[in-house]
This record gives sequence, structure tokens and C-alpha cells, in this order.
Amino acid sequence: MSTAPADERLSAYLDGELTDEEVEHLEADLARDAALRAELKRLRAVVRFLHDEGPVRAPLGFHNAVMARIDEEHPVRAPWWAWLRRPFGMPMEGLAVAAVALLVLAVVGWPGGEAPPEGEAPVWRDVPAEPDAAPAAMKAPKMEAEEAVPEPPRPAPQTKREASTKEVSPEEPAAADKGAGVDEEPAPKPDVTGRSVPKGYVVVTEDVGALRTLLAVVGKLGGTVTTASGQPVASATMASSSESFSITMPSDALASFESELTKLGMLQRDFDDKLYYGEEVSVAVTLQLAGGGVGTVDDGPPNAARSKKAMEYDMEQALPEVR
Amino acid sequence: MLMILLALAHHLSDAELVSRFKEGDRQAFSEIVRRYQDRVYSLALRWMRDRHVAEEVSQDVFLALFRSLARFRGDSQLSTWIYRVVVNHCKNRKLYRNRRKMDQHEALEGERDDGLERQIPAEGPGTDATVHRDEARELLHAALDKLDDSQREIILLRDIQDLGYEEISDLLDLPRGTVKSRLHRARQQLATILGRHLNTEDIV
Repeated sequence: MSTAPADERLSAYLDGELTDEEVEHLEADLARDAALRAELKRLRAVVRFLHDEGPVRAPLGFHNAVMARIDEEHPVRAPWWAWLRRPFGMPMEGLAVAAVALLVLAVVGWPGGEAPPEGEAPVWRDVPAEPDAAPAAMKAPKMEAEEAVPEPPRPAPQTKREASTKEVSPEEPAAADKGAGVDEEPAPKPDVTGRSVPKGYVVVTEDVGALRTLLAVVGKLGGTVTTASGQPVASATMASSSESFSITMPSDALASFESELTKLGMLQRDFDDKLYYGEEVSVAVTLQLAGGGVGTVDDGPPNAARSKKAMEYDMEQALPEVR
Repeated sequence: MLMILLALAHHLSDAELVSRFKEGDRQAFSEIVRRYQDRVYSLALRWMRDRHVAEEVSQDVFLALFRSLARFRGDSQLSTWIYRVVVNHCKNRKLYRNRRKMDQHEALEGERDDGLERQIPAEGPGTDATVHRDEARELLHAALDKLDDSQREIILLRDIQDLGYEEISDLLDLPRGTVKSRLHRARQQLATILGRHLNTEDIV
């Protein structure tokens, strides 16, 4: 009586997935069929063998490591007034110094010709960096200013940015994978956990309209751009405090995307695009201006000739359809 | 105060946590990580057979979830969605590893070409007795390696992660009947592979 349909009933029986009526029929069959009973016994032994595996717990510190990576990749913007509390408990003094500096700047004007030293306040933000907000060991040097912004209870609103309400289309089942271990990552960058953090592209460009160009390129290639918090970005009007984006595009457009990025400036490759063979890839993008004043892309930085932008791309995993 | 917040988060449902996350509460995501880290890591470890890779995959899974959770509509359970992300990441990682292996003609960490033959001791005294737990684990892993991917994933989800047929059906986009038949065939295959190493003595 151990026909194929009956056999399938055995597994469902062990799993409690049969109806009362099916159980009744199967138990009647078992009572008169020794071979069926033997098969049930064998399957039960397999299931017990599997259950003997026992529970597995995530490694110690796993939770912290995940949250550290999230903080690193998706730094939360501080409210505009937060900098008044910094640095190091000297709010009024800091405010006074900043006010004096602004007055001097307004009267004297921006010093001409020379570019400000690299590493000064990025043009894309109006929130100064807080040096002690995150462990320095986990930060890449270029990201220090950005990532040092402390985390408020909630992400800051996306100021000065047009954000459509169009829902981002769900991604297909994960087809792209970031990498396959430390041995596969070129020049791994250690974080606090000692794990390698794969880097993406780094583009250093003098193009002040880089974001506008980027949006146009992504649109042309059939991709979408969202903020780190998932809000669609429809305009190149860029709040000075925001520079992190996620770009989702067809993976077969990755080469074209890279080519367009190359046109923006010096492109440094730091990942293997053979990793991305799925239907879609999502790319985390950070626009960073290493020098110059404040402003938006649409306005243009006040001193374009001195400005230098850097883009950093970290690959994301394509996700299954969001349901 | 922090303890109170943590305690409150601990009692929130998955749907409430997702809702809070969408409102910008990062602490809600922290609780999701805390809630699912063992299950995610467990499945990744069983799939990848390498602790380091499993940890990497698990971290990547949560990073990917963070990026996309705002678009989660809640049509399926959060747990199902998370498992689907884990499964896809593991598949992709294995696929990539296999491709590299083919490209480079080199054995990679965690792969066992000779599989069960290397794991199961040769015929001899005592091999029919109940094996030690660690040895049993090795036996099982080697046997699982002998299954094809579709069989192995369903065994992992049902017999190790303890998911129900409906959830597996939803997760793998398979009809319930297919889950049932595939699971049964996988168990039969495992029983055949494990053979005499299965202890059926005390099974009624």
C-alpha cells in the first residue's frame, strides 16, 4: 500500500499537516500494511535526526555589528540646531565663533583662487560633524565627517528636496550578491567587527552638477533614486545636509552606469561587477564635496572651481519582491 | 528609561515594529534584528556551512532589510519575507561561490567534493550504533550536501527552521502540494543516504 500518494501522506502525517479524515484513513492503512509502517519509522528517524541539530544562536555581538553597519551606511542626519550643542558642551562659544566667521566671510569675501583644504565642511550639508558620535575605528577616513553626525530618535526630514509619493517598484528575488567572503573582496576595509566592508565606486569630480547628471543618467537607464530612508528623489535640488541615496536599476545597465560615472570624473573601481548578475541592483550613493561652501546642486556651489565632489557607492543586495 | 523602551519594543508585534520603522523609528529595526538574528543566522549557517560566511550573509540580510523595509506592504508575514531574503542571499552566495570555483578550479572553504564518502566512517565495529552528536551533525551536513538545492532548502525550512507548509509555500512560491511532495522525496532521499546511520531501534 506504500504507493507514492500514500508515501507523501506519511511526511504530512509526521508534520501534523493532514486533516482528521486523512489521518483516519492513513492510520487504517498503517494498521494493515507493514511496509508502510516501516517507511513511517524510517522517515520518523530522519526527522528526529534533523531535529537533533538543536538551536543555533547568532554570534556574540551580532546585533551590535549589524546596527553599526546600518549606522555607517545610513547615517541619520542631526536636526539643524543640534550643532549648537557641539562641540564638547560649548554651545554659545561655538555659536559665537561661527557667527564671527560668517561675518568675516561676508565682509572680506571668499578667498579667491585657492581651493579650501580637502576635508573641510562638505558642501552637501549644513550640519557640522561631531567627532565623537561613532567609533572612529569603523569609519573610512572619507566618511568620518558624515558618519559622526549623531543619531536622533528619528531621521531628520528631507529638507529642500522634492519627494514624489510614487511607490518604488518592488525588486525581484535577490539576484545580486555583494560578495562571497573576505577572500573575494579586493582590498577589504575592516570595521569594528573586523569584517570586511566592500566598497563600491569612488568618483572624484569637479562637476558641480553631478547630482543632476546622476539623476538624468539613472532615469535614462531605467533606474530610480531614493533617499536612505526610502523617499523617491525627483529633483536635483539638494539639501545641503543630505547626500545619501539608493539607486536601483537594471543590472544589465550597470556597465553603462559605470561609463556615465566615468564621465563625471575620476572613477576608482573597488568591487567586482561580476558579483552583480541579477535582474536589478541597488546602489547606495553618497555625494560628498570635499571643499567649498554650502549650497545646492541647482544653485551651484559658490565657488565651483575650488569644489571637488566625491561619490561613494556601496552595493546593496537585491531583494525579493516586497509583499 | 532605555530599559522601559526596550521592554515596550519587546512586546510589539512585527507589524507594529514595521509601522514604527516606517515612521522613522530606528529602534524598531533594532528590535527586529534582535528578534530574528538567531533564526536568520541559523538558516544561513545551515545553508552555507561556514560560520564566517553565515555571519556575513546574515548581516547582509539585515542591511538589505533595512534598505527595503519601508516598501514592505505587509501582504505576507514579516518572518516569511525575512526568510525569503535569507534564502535568496544564500542561493546567490552559493551560486557565486560555485561560479568562482568553476572559474578558478579550486576548492573553496566549506565545500566538500567528496561529501558523504569523506564524512561517513568506513564499515567497522560500532558504526551501526548511535553516533556521537558532533559526528551525527557532520553526517547530517554531508547528507544534506548530497541533496539538490530544492530538496535541501525545503528540509532546512521545515525540519530545521520548523516552518509550516503554508509558510514554506508562501516563501518559495510553491503550491502546498509541491511542498508536501518535495519534502517527502527529500526525506526519503536523506533516509537512503544516511542508511544504516539512522537509528530506528527505539522508534515505535
